Amino acid sequence: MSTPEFSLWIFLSSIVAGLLGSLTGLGGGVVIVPVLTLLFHVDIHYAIGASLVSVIATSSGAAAAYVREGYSNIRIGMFLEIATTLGALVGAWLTTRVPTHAIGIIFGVVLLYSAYASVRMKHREHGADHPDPLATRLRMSGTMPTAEGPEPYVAQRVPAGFSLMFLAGSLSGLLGIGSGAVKVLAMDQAMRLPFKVSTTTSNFMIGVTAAASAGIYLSRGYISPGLAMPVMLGVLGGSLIGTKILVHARVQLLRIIFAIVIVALGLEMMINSIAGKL
Amino acid sequence: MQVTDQKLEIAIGRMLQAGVLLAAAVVFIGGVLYLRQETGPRPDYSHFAGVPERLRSPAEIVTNAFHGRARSIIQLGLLLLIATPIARVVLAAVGFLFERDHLYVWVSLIVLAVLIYSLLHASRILMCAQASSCRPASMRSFRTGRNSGASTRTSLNTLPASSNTGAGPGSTEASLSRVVTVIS
Repeated sequence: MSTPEFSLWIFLSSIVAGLLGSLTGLGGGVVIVPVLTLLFHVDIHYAIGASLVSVIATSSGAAAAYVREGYSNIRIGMFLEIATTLGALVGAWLTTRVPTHAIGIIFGVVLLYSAYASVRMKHREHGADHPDPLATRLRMSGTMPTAEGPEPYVAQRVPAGFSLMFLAGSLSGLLGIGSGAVKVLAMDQAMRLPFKVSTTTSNFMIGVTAAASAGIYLSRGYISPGLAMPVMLGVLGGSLIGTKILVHARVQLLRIIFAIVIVALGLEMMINSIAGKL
Repeated sequence: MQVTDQKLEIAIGRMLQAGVLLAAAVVFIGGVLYLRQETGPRPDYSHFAGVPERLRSPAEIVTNAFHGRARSIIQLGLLLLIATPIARVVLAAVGFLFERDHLYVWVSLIVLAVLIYSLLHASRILMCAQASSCRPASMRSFRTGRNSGASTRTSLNTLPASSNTGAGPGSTEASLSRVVTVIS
């Protein structure tokens, strides 16, 4: 295979990854890393390097659209970014210490969890609004626009959410993914924020979290231009197309189809890691 | 100037979008140049060796990009992409300052400090990598293979390029740079 041909295949795969990632809200990273390692036999360090830059691109590219809806909470996001960026530093450091097959197995587990979360988890439409002393002191509250007018919400269990965000950041830095599923878990389940606030705020945080580990990836030589170029352009393009068709598509059916694909990739990733083929 | 959360968020959203578009355009230009000159067989990414030093350090990337080197132009675009969320945190800090929300000015500055630490830490590793004395340490992670006890040298020998040269303990440095040039 020649370089232009290889780049074209990577580009096309990345478009599909970005498309599926944005339709399901899981992000392109969870698809493109297994595709690169399993299909194209790319070493996992180069794969997570290319994936991480595409994660920054999709998160930042979608931000303008999310902001217009008025759901994201800039204070909650900024406060929790302390946890995710510190976690990302730890995660990026771990990639240099953890053996390749262990990274593969952890990746597989995260894929299986993401598939489960995207299909099974019950999301709360409305947030909790009873006062929480810590959240009040940290001004972690807001109002969400609804058809019946602005609806107030207050964050709950801030320490639990903060700890989960540290975990989300570590996974992001270790695996080169946005780990949106864990971020939403922290805000939706632990902090009891309304679902739309969780997802849009999570998107805002993904770019900053990824930037924290990107510097380390770059200096370690994980970011290969020949690979990152088609991946970044493809995932970005695919996710922009995904956002456009999201309005018309039957999301629940897509979620189920995509969850099956993710489970298959996750199992393949784990089997290959255990067999030492990754 | 009256700054509200909504205005601040819209400004941040626009800034992020502009940053991504600019980065994507630079990566695209670099990509076109790259594909015009690279018509040979596909590069082998199956063994991790890390890209050459000139594609790791921000200063060298910028210098080489302005000399029209395709890979460096792609890296420059990716650097712009990494800088976009960092600029977002700076903009938020300024916005909170205008809102007189001092608590969140501090929160933003803490996040900014972590991001800057990451970049400084990265350049410290880079300086370390240039000094031969601490290179093996920075490369210990080099090929974290199945046999967890593999040393830098033996794992290097599993790479096609260095297995032919028969790298001894003394020539790790030389074979490393050869492998780096061959693979990337």
